[in-house]
Amino acid sequence: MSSRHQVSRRLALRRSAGSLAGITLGGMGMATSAEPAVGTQQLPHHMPRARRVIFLFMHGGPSQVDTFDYKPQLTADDGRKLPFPEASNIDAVPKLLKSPWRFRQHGESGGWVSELLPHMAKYIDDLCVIRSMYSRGQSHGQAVSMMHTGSDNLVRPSVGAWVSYGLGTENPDLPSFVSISPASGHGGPRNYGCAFLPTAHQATAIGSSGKLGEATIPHLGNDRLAADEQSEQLKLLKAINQDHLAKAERDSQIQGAIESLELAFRMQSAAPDILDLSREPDHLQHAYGIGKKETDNFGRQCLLARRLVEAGVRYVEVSTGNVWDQHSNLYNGHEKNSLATDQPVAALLADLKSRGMLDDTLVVWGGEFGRTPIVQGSNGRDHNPQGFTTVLAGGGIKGGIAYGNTDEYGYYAVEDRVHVHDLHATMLHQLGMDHTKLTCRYAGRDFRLTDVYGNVVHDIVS
Amino acid sequence: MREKLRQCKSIGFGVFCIVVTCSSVCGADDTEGAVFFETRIRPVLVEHCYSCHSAQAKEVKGSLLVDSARGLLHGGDSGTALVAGEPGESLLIEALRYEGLEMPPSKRLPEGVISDFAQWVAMGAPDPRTDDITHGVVRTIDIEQGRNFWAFQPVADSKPPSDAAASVAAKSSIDAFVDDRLVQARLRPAPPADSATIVRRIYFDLTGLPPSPRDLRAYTEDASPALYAAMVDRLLQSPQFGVHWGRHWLDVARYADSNGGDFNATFHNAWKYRDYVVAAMNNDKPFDRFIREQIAGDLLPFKSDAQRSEQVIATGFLMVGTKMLSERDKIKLQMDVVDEQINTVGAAFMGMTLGCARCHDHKFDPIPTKDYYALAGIFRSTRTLEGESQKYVSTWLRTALPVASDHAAAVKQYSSKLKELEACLQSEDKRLAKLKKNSTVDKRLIVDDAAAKLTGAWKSSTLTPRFIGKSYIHDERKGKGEKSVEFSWTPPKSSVYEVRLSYTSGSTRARNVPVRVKHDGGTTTVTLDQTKAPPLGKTFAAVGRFWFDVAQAASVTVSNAGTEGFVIVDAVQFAEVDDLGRLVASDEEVLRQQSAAELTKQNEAVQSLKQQLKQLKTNAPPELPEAIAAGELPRVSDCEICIRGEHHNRGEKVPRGFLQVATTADVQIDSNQSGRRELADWIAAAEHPLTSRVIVNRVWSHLLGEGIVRSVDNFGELGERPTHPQLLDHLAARFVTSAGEHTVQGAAGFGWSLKSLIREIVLSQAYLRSCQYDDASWHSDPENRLLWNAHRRRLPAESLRDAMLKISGTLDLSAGGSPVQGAGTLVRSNSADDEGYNAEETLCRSLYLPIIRNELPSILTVFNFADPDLVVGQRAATNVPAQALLLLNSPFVMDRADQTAEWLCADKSKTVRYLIDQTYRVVLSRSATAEEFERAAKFLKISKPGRTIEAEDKAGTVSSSELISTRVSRLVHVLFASTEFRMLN
Repeated sequence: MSSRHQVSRRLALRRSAGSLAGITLGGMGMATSAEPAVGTQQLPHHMPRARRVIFLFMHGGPSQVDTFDYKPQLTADDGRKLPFPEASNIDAVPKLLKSPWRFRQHGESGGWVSELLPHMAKYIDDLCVIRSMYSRGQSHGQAVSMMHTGSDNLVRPSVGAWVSYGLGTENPDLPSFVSISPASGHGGPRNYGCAFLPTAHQATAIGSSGKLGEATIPHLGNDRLAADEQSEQLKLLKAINQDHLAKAERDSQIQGAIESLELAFRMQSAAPDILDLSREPDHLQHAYGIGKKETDNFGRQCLLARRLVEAGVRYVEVSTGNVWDQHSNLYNGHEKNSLATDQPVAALLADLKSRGMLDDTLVVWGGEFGRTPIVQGSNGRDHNPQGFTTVLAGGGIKGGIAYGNTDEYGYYAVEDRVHVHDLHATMLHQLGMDHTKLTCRYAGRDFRLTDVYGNVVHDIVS
Repeated sequence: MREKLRQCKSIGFGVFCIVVTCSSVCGADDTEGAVFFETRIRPVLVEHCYSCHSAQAKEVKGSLLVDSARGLLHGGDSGTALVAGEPGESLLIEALRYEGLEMPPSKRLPEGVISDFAQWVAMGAPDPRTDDITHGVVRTIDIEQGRNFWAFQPVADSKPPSDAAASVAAKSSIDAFVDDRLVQARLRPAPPADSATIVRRIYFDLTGLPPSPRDLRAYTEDASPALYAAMVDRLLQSPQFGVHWGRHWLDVARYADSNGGDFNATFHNAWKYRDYVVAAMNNDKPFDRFIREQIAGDLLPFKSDAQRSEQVIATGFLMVGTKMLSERDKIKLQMDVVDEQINTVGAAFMGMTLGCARCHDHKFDPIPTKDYYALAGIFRSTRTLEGESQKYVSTWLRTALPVASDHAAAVKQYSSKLKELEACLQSEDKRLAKLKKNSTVDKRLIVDDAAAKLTGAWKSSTLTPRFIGKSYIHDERKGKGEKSVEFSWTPPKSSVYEVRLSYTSGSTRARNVPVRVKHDGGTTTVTLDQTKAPPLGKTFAAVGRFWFDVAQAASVTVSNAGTEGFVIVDAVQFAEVDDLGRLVASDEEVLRQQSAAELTKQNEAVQSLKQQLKQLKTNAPPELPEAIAAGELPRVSDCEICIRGEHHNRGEKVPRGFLQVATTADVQIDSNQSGRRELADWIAAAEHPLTSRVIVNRVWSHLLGEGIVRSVDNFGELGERPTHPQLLDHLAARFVTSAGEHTVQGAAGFGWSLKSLIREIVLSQAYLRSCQYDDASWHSDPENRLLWNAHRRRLPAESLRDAMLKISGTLDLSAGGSPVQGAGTLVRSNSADDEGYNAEETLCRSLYLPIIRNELPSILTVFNFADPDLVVGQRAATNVPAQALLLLNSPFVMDRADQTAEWLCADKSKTVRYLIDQTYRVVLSRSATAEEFERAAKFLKISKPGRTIEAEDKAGTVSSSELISTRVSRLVHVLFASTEFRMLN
């Protein structure tokens, strides 16, 4: 390909991806040059309220009526027949099932939270609870893809990739988009991939399927060679590459490879520190629930997320693993998942707040869909993209409010409905981007995260 | 506000001016006003208004249509909808603001949207929609005009320019065309590449592998055009040619061994399609045939089973795309699969992006929605999906491949025998399980004879069925009054228990067997008549009910005192009785017991069946082969237009057909078939304007680094224009002309042979040029569109991996077979605990690695492997740190370096000087320069390069523990990571 010389803008857009900014160093997403990505030259489109995003993905679909969407009528009508038609293609029967958990109002705002999430409840005055979310996709695959890419059936760039494409990274030694313990099923890497955007914008994955494990980046170190041996190699390699470049006289490909090699080496020394959670004080680790069996894993994920955004990563997703899918065993399942995530999430909010970072960090909590208020089996709930709850915090979003409503049983979003496209539009808006203007031309047309849809939910913007 | 409006108007005005100046380039759609309309207004109209105010509405409300510019201007029952430039006077805005009319009635639109509308009206309501809408089908595209676009024009062969030919002797027609442009542009072509560069280039380009030092020497020592041509011909015949060029096609065919998407199901048979592609390349299957087989192989006539198999397997092309198998709306799923197939066929063969036309007429290319649904009818009549693998999760068609009749008969016999045996085993197993369950002896409540204390000689027997445990005992009708059996028992709790004795009855038995029970209240003796069958479950006879205290040991003693017949003793049972005198457990439960003999017998029967089954399976005939292949649906039908791509919103039916813009003849499609055969014929026709150009261009781009049309997958309006249109057409015309015949301009035909085309290209001077830089040329043509030198290219991921393997001497060249044998229905589950798919590390060529979507081998993805979810005609070329990290730190690379060093240093009588040179020749396919030699020697810590390896190792100049091979390994490692190794000069 011809990126060795100046490329036409269109060509650059389509393929050479690699040689423009924010893009140059793809994969690990390092932007070194100041030249912005094509299609993003006017960025930001307006004054940003958030500089980064942490998306806490509750994979499997937590139940809205058991967490944030308080429905006394559901309790009152427990066991009765649903008085309106249920959604199609589900296994639940139209019999109402009340929440086994008690709800209570919290904070000055008096927001309702169930006893499942006592720690998050303490921060209700910082939370914006969108109770009227709806999506497309009755199965996990479709809904997970919808939540992550804005498409339920096609291969599209993920939200994080768009954000990285639009804004690049704040730290040239780190990737701009990291996905912590992403699911390997339900689309797997698709959900943090870049599709037709330059490779630079796909996430670097750390851990998998809800498990943080060793928390490392592939091939970040070499355990066979001593540091001096490797630097000796590197010296030779540089000389050999310089020869190649000199002989070629002018070649941006060789130049790019040389630069990325140097960055790789820099990252090799910088990244391990960021990934090392033991550098955090004990009390903070404790606050995140690290060291406690139930919360250790998710606590470490959340703390790592904070360390990454603090170091300049633009978009961090933290996944629970596909654990929230309680078609049966609702009681034990949701208890266990809440126990594992509630304290770490609250600790993350507190930590960001105490560092003054919550103001410009948009935190998003939610699943790919919610669950039916009607029963599946005897103690379960089926998938419900028709109405569910997503919680936002920070990043210029109003705290202490609940937005939109589902019907009296928490089934369908009915008032101030917020589609996933609207959520995405709003997220980009907070980051200073107009979702209708952030485009990439591919296969003959301009693509957007929100396709031809999406409205910014201005009412929740502070 | 007024000020703002005026501003807006002036913007609108400015926009108008822009239209005039650039409409020829961008088309009228591309103005700011139109863009505003397309991005802010139209989507809202579509989403919120069309359901009541469009031609597609079930019932048009208020006679207002907003799906055309005219409709919107004209207004409806309430009058004119808008006054351009005057939002204040426009009913539309009033309605949106909920002032008077309230539209849309469901909910007021957000303020931002309403102000967009106001701004748009203020701008003069620019509306690029020029169509008048009739029933559903929007016709805005002028097909006739569309045919004027270069790509839809018939391929026109032209004579190679002759002036340029004069400048260089004995050139191919390719050079005539290329040089002509260079001469015109006053560019001087770079000199030919040196012979070592040529060898490396041609080996990688034709086989994806580096030359061996011997290959290198054979050519570099005696380079000549004849020798070069011979080398090319040899490489074209190498089986590795198909591996390399097959992979190029698999990129386009978005090949994978699993579904990916939401439900990563294993494509157990996709590899057969992969191997078909490799074989097609190696056998130089005519490309038109290749097209027909992939689209409609199952419908083509065949002369043999082998041919039938091959053709059926070929349709895997249509099948291996990713599908949202768990989509619960199966109609949507079907239309999504159809869409995926249309997109793939469109891009792969015709370089057309057809997906756009699913929802609306193509914005840029002359492809109306109607054409999309004409194709959709064909694919919707094709069987791709078949059944479900679990609830809601669809699966795909598996087609049986033809087999020899004796094989089929053997399999049939085998499977019926298998079925029979399995059924038999199942029922016997069930019986055994039941027996086992029934024979469970509750040790707390039953005391078997085996646990009893015997006095005198008792004989064990299993002669009469229905006993507890392994056997029962009898007194042999001897020693009357001398023998007794004592059962001791401790009650689990204090209660009343019914004491029962188990015995096997018969006419020879004693009639008055004394049974003495020692219980809490004392001792009670009862006699039993053993000639009579025990009444309880034919096993037990009740002795009586007694209170037993938990603290006190109880016993039951059976003796033969005073008896005449056989005294039988088997077991004693204690059945708990509640206060009301009812048995605590049900009768059946209490009576659970069975004959051990029966159990043993049953066990043996089951074991024998299992043995037979094992035997049968060991000698099973080979499985009947299946393929992931397309078929026909029984009901063939035209497809209705899905309005705005919504599958539930159906418009009129469109007869099945092809792209009108590339069709001249009438379309005839068999009403009993899907139409894939006709579609394949249409695409594979010599006169199709796109097919030959697209494939010729693909081949060109693989060899020259850029296509003549640089956007290899997009020949539409938004694609690039050909840099050498005459050359492209010249090659396309020759490509479709039969071998042995000539084009109208007298050039020899290639007969759809890819190998002939490739040969023609690699023998040209254009291909053989060096990458040498030239400042003047660069300033004149920085993108090297005119090919004044050779594009420096990246080695594809596979070549990097395969080259390292080959250089290390460990590459396994064996071909084919399943990469996913043993994988289950799902390559990996969707659960949180899933560890993922781990492919065994193999040393085969990369083409044969399992291509598991979402689990691609990282060594491939890091180096820009083609995303198997998309049609990829040209891979990206990124520079990411992940590549450097992998090359520097991956054990795979270091292992290869170790192995390379090992064999390089094997002959210790060689000098170090030779070793260094050989290292460069092996890894970079060239000798080391003097400077490189010095540098390498320094790195190896060698001071006397004339010494042998052995002498150096002994002298220990490196260090006491390090042999030269260790350092050589590090040198090879560095060379593997070098930019030169990763690229083709």
